Amino acid sequence: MVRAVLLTHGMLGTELVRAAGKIYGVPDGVSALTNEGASLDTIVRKLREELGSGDGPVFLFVDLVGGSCCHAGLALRETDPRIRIVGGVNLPMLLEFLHYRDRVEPEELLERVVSRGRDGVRVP
Amino acid sequence: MSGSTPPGRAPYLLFRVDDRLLHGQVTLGWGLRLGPERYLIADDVLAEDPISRRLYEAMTPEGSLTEITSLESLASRTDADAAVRRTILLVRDLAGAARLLRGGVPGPVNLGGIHDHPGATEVLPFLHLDRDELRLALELIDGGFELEARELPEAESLRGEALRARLAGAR
Repeated sequence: MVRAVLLTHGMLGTELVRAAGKIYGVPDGVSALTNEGASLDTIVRKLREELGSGDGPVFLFVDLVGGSCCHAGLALRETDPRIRIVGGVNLPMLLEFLHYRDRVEPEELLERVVSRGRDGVRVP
Repeated sequence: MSGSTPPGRAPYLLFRVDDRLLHGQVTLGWGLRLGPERYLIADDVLAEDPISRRLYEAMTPEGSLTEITSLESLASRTDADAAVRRTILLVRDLAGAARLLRGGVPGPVNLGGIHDHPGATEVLPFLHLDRDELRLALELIDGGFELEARELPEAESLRGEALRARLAGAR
């Protein structure tokens, strides 16, 4: 199973995971971390611990490209090829991830997730 | 008297009682997994309300369509089996489901989302029924109709004697 970590400001990630659980089902292998009250070094350390040493790709969802969460992810990605980073996390892309994570290859999953996240922002 | 599925009528992909009718749990939680071509809402209020109909139609996921009909007209018609098997059928309350079941629409019926309402007690976090509804649910089960309580596809399904006991305990 492709895992995911949501690393965000405040409780955004926690609540997105909770909402996705209500809509699609309780997500295994998906966790949330916050940058609240943490230095960049601490964020990097927390993220490294969360990623652990398991095999297989891990999707790292962050809220702001260019923010400290994203920065921590980029820093770890330098030496950890498992990490795929997606910025601008939203509920549509998280649901897309949950449904397709074990149905398509990681590279296609990355494209689908980003595309669904974009399509989810529109005037209905 | 048995109320089980009459011969010759195919069951729906999902026949669900949900007071939100068409919403995220249905179109994403169930819809992504089941891949329906059609959402069929059987509801007497919506059938007479063009504005509300338009709202539900606007919420239909790409690649599928939504049809809205009255309970009576659904109970009295017979769709092609192939179409039925690709359809998620939605009603807003247990009374509507009972009318369809007794009119020959095949079960099983998924009790998926009935939120708190006046006089209701919590049977499960997503299932609230008042006294009349509890009695009706037990009548249906005892009449041989198959009910199951389950919010999302991969959650545990409460059915049969376990569901009956839970409903009886909530009375």
